[in-house]
Amino acid sequence: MHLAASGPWWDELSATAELALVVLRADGVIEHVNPFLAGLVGQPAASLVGRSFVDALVVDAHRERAASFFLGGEQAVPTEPIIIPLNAMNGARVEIRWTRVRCDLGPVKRFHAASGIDLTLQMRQEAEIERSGAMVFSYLQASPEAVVITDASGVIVVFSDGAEKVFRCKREGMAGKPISDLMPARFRAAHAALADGFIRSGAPSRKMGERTEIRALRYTGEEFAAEATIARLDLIIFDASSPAFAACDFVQALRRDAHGRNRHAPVLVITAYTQFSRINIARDSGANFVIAKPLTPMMFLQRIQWLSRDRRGYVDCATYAGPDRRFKFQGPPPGTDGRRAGDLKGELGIATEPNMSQADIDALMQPTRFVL
Amino acid sequence: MTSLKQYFPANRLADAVSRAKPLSVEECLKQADENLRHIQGACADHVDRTLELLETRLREWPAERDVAYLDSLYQLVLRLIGAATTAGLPDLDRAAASLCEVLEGLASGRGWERDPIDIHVHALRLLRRPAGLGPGVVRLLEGLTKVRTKYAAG
Repeated sequence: MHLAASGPWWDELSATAELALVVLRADGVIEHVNPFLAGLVGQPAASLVGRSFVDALVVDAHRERAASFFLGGEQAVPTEPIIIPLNAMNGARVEIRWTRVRCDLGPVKRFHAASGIDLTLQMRQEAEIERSGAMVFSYLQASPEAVVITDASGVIVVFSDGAEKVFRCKREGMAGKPISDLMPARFRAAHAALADGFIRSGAPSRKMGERTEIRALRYTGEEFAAEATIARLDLIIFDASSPAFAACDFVQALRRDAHGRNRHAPVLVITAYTQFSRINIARDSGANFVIAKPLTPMMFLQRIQWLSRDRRGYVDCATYAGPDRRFKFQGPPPGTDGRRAGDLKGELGIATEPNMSQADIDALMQPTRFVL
Repeated sequence: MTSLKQYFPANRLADAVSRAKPLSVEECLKQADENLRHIQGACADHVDRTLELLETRLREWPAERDVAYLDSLYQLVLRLIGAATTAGLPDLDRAAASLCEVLEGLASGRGWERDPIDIHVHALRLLRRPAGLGPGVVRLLEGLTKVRTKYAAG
C-alpha cells in the first residue's frame, strides 16, 4: 500500500473494525491510532498520541524486534508480517500480526505506518475448537448418568454432567483428583485393593457392591448408598482428524502396552483424512477399522456389528501389535455351509486314500540340510 | 531373528453385544437420530465458528507460495466435515470435502492461486443457509466440481 499525503485516507482506513492501524513518526512517537487498536489495548486513542509506541505498548521482551520492524529504514520495509504482542490496560496480552506499510506523507515529515490483525480472539477460538475436538470426552461428559473415568493410577479424567449432579460438585474441581475422594475415608483402602483385583482378574466388568455395600461421598460431605459398575472398554472410537494424527499414536501405545486392560479392545478410527497414506497409518497403528466422515448411524451400526463378529487373530511382533492385517479366506463361518461353489458341504466322511509316508511328505516340503 | 506371536483373544465387544438389551435395528437408528438432533445446534455453532476462522485466515493470504499456510486452511476445513452433515448441512460437507481436495492439489504443486479457494469459501458461506438457494444448490455444487476437477491433485 502506498499512502498519499492528501485525501481522507486516515478516516477511511481507521473506520475498519478488523484492522489495527498505527502511524508513527520517524522517532517512533505515535501520530495516529485507530479506534480498533485503541480498543484492543484498552486506552483512548487520544491518550496514546505523542507517546513512544514501543515503550507504551509493546511487551518488554519484544521491544527490540518491534523497534527494528516498525522503525527500520524505508529502503528495507519488511515484506513478511510478524507477530508482536502488545500490553493491554487490563493486564492481558494482545497478539497482533503486523504488516509494515510504505508511506509517503509529505516531503518534510517521514512516517512509518503499520496495520495488524488481532490474533487473540482467533487463538482463543482455535483453542476452543481444539477442546471441542476431544469428542470422545465431550460426549461422555454430557452423559446424564454419573460417568467417572480415571487413568491407570485412579486419577479422574472425565466427570460427567450426571456425576456433577450426583456428587454435587463441579467437573473443574474434580479433574485431577483421586477417585477415592468420592468415597468415605473408611472405604478407600478397600476400594484400592478391589480395583486392583479387578484389573488382575481379567473380568470384563463388575458390579461394585456385589460383595459389600457401596457408599459414596458427596462434595457436601453427605454419604449416600450407591450402585456402581466398573468396566473395561468394549469399544474405543477415536476421532483422528487432529493435525498431528494423535489418535494413531494413542492406538499404537494401547496395542503395545503388554499389561494394558484395553489392549485388545476393538478400535474404530474416524477421520476426515482419507488419503491412502493416512489409512495405512491408521491400519498400521493397530486400528480395527477406519471410517471416513461424514458418519451415518447405519454405517456406524454396521461397523460395530462387523467388529463384534471379527474373528481375526492378534499379532505381536517387534514392528507391529494389533489385529492381523492380513485377510485370508479360511472357509465359511463355522456352522454354515458356505455359498461358494468350492465350499464343501456337510460331513467330510472318512479318508478315501492311504496316509502319506514321511518320504512322500518330505518330497513335498523340499527339506534342507542343517546341523544341530 | 524377528519373533512373532499370534493369538486369539476373547472378543469382548461380541460379549457386550450379546449381553445388551435386544433392540431392533429400526429402534437403534431412531435413537441415534434423536441423539444427533440433540447436538444439531452445537454442530451448527461449530460450523459458524469454523467458517469465521476460515474467512479470517483467508484474509492473511501470503504473497508467495506457502504450503504451511495451505495446510492451516486444510486443518480448518477438515473441522467442517462431518459436523456440517450433523448440523443438517450435507451440501456444505460436500463443498468442504471439495475444498480439501483443491487445497491438497495446490499444496502438491498445482499452481498458487487464490481464486479456487475464494470460490469454495464463498460457496460454503452460501451453503450455510441453503434454503435461500433453492435449485441453485445443485448448480453451485456442479460449479465446485468443475473447479475441483481443475485443481485437485492426481
